[in-house]
Amino acid sequence: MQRQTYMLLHPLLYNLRAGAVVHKGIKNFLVEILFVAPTLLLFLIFVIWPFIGSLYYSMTQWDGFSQPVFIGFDNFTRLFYEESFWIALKNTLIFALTGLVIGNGLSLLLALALNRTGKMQKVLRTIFYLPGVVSFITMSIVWTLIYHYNGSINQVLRSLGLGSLASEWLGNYDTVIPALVVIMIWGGVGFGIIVFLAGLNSIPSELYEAAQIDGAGPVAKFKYITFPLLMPSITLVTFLGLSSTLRVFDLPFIMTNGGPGDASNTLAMIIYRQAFTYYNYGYATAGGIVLFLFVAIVSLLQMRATRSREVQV
Amino acid sequence: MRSALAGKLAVQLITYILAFLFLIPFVLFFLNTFKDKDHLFEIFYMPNLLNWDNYIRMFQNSNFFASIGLTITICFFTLLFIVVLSSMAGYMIGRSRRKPIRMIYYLFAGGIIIPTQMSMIPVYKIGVATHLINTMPFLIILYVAGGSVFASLFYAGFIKSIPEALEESAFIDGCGRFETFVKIIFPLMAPASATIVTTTIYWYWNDFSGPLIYLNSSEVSTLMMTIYKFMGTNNTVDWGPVYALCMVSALPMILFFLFTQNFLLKGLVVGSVKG
Repeated sequence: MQRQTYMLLHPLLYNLRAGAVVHKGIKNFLVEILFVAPTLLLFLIFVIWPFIGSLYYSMTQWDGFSQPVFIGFDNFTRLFYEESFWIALKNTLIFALTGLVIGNGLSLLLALALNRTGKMQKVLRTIFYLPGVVSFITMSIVWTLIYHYNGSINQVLRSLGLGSLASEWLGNYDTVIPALVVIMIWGGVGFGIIVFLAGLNSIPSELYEAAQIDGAGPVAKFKYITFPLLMPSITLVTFLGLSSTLRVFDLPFIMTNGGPGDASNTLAMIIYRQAFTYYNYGYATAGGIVLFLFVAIVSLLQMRATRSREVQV
Repeated sequence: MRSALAGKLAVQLITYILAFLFLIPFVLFFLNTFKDKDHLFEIFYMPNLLNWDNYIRMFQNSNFFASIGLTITICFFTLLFIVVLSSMAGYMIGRSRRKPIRMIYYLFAGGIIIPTQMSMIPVYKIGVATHLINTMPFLIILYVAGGSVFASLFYAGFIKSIPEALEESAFIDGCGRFETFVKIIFPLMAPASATIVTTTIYWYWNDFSGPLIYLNSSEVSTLMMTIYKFMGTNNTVDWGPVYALCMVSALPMILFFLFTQNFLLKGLVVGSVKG
């Protein structure tokens, strides 16, 4: 039976199997190294080396020009005492969790709905994916006019006689996060739909036929067939979704610049600002380490949670 | 049976309503590119679609053609190098019997969770030290370095669906390993290459923070930076040309998506292996 594998992501997703052709000898080993060398070198220079470098820089006071001064864990202590750090951490978490629950939930429901629409599926799929093709900067320009005090939402509200509900959606402490979440979901749902549709297509129809004979209803079919077999797709979508929402930068940077106050600030924005506005490179790098640990922990937890629920047919 | 039918209709109705809501920002986006500045905020105002004034002023005031040239060049070379280098690496990572080569899979997979913001500053320093900062090749190298990690894992998985017997017979016929790769493996991995190109081109086309940090003070800027700069000089006065610029920058990707969307869906399942 076909098992769908998303090879692309994680060792947890995919079991490594050795090849069968044996190429013995040092010469063949060198050839193999030559094949991987360019990618590996780029990876070591631009991913691993900066990673190790930032472990050191995070413990220094450094403006990027003069010699870094080693100060131990002071940057981290300072970071943890800063209120805006905790607000940014909270905002980052809210973006990630709402994206995870609402965004992925919506993707799954829409994929299930689209799976039955037949001919219109392609059109609907295109519409839902389209926002993902457009850049954050374009999204933010379009949505700025929607959320503006004289923008689309408020005009609709006013024309319906609900003018009292009109608000400066991005300038208000209570509405700025939900307003940004709406844009993120609008932009991200399409990818989830495509992956889930691919997953749904790969579930063998005999399983449903067998369940039908056993008298299973739609709920039982979803619970015992669709959901467990869709779990690899769910792992993929949540992993990719989390790793992008935890690093969210472009959208709040362009639309609100973290405001009002710190209300829509994120970890990635704090790091950027500390580094390229205030030239506190050491401090900014410490923020980078915290972000990395945060992403790593959340990703591992998510992997464990969804992987353990995967089944093999 | 009647309630089941009603339920089905309700689901369909909700889906169509949601699709309509998803389209609204695009409709506004499109219409706004034609609105003059007195009517820009009025959503119930129907502009004259033959009035191309915003587009004309945008072409006059921004460096659009140079920007799109630069963006296309960046995307082209980035994807070219990613496909060539990571298909080679992915092939070996997935096929080799040697542990050191196979372990690269885990190394790369771990590398994916390193946020770009964390390496931003050291990478910037590399750029300054090599005098490559604010040059196009530097941005391309960074994209290739980041993108090929992901792509290599993808190829390493995809190679499992290609039977090894093909390579064996090539060896028996006296084909070298590199020749086998070029003549047999690479063409067979075309669907994987197509998936990589059609899913990731948007990242490079639409990337904002990359050029913001590493390609900021160059004479010609990428499309996204052009929009950003154009916004800075224009937005308080006049949004119309900004919208027009966004539209002509988004259009190539929208068209690309419409023509390649079937690859996207197929590519995600094409790697299914017998298990």
